[in-house]
Amino acid sequence: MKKTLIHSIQIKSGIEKVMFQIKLPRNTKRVKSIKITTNGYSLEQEELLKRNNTIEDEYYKKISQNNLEDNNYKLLITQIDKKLEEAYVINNKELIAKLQQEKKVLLEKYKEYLASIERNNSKSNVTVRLIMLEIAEQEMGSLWLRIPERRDVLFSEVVKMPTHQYGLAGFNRAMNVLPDFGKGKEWINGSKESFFSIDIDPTSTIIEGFYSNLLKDLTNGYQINIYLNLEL
Amino acid sequence: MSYKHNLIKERFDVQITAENQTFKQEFELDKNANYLIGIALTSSRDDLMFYRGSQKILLNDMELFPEGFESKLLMSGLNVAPDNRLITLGELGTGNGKIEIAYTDKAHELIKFVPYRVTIYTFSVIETNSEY
Repeated sequence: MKKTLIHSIQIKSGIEKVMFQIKLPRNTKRVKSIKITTNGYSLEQEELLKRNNTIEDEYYKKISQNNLEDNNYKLLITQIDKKLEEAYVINNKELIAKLQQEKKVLLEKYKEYLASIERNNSKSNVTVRLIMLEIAEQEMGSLWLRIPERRDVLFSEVVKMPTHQYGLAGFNRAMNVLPDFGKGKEWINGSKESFFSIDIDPTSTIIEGFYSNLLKDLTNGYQINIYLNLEL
Repeated sequence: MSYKHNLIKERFDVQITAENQTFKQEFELDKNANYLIGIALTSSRDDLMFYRGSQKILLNDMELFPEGFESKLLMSGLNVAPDNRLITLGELGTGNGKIEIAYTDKAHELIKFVPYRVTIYTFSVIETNSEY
């Protein structure tokens, strides 16, 4: 039989080190996998996030404006196409030549416009990505788990907040937006959340834990969740 | 081995109408379903469920996910292949087929509350003699 055990640790501002114990059910045979999640970030990260969100907001505003402009161009082109069809029906060569010239000019303008959008988009994309990388490099703390009788560390991890959990920008990137979706460049590249696979015979019902907090400039506290998948 | 055509796919909705509360609901699986093999969680507001949600899920009083199990661990984005989005559970006998979900919404500083819907999809297998 399988069971998931969740142990939460609250980290408050000013706390540097936390010792804790995880009590396992008596009939635990093995610990099969582990996952650590967290929800905190420092003041520095918060500022980066705000910067990132502003850039993203502007980016999405631009996209909606661009869509309007894009539609205008498309409308004008279809209008000329209709007129061209009519001109062909009445076989007015002068009008056909004039309309074809108009269409050519419009298409050139449209091409230029598309190229400028591409340039702008890639610029803001690069900036946002750089900020996200900056955030991703920041660590929140280190966690060790050990079995008391054996005194050996069975699991240790540098706890980091995954980039997709930073604000809506990161979330959208992970959950909703595929930047080149529909262009044939990118289709699917993700995977499900998975646990870190491990196989431990705990011998006793206690696992000792030690967490060292690296975020000194906390506005609010944060929570670390330790998920243990057990075999009973 | 199970094929797509002997899988029963069911959808159950839970409406989250107030913040910082737990919403409990009970559903019944199709009576023809023999084994529950997986579940998937989606929402009308993925972002709210991702940041604010946690849930407990039981199958006939057997705990599949304990209280406080974050919803974000059961979600998959668009960038995950559709065939890989299911959370596999092995082959659990459906018994009475009673699925119970207790979804908890918890305030988060990044996302303000608006009413949203949480949907749980279940995938069960019908026991057949033939593979076709």
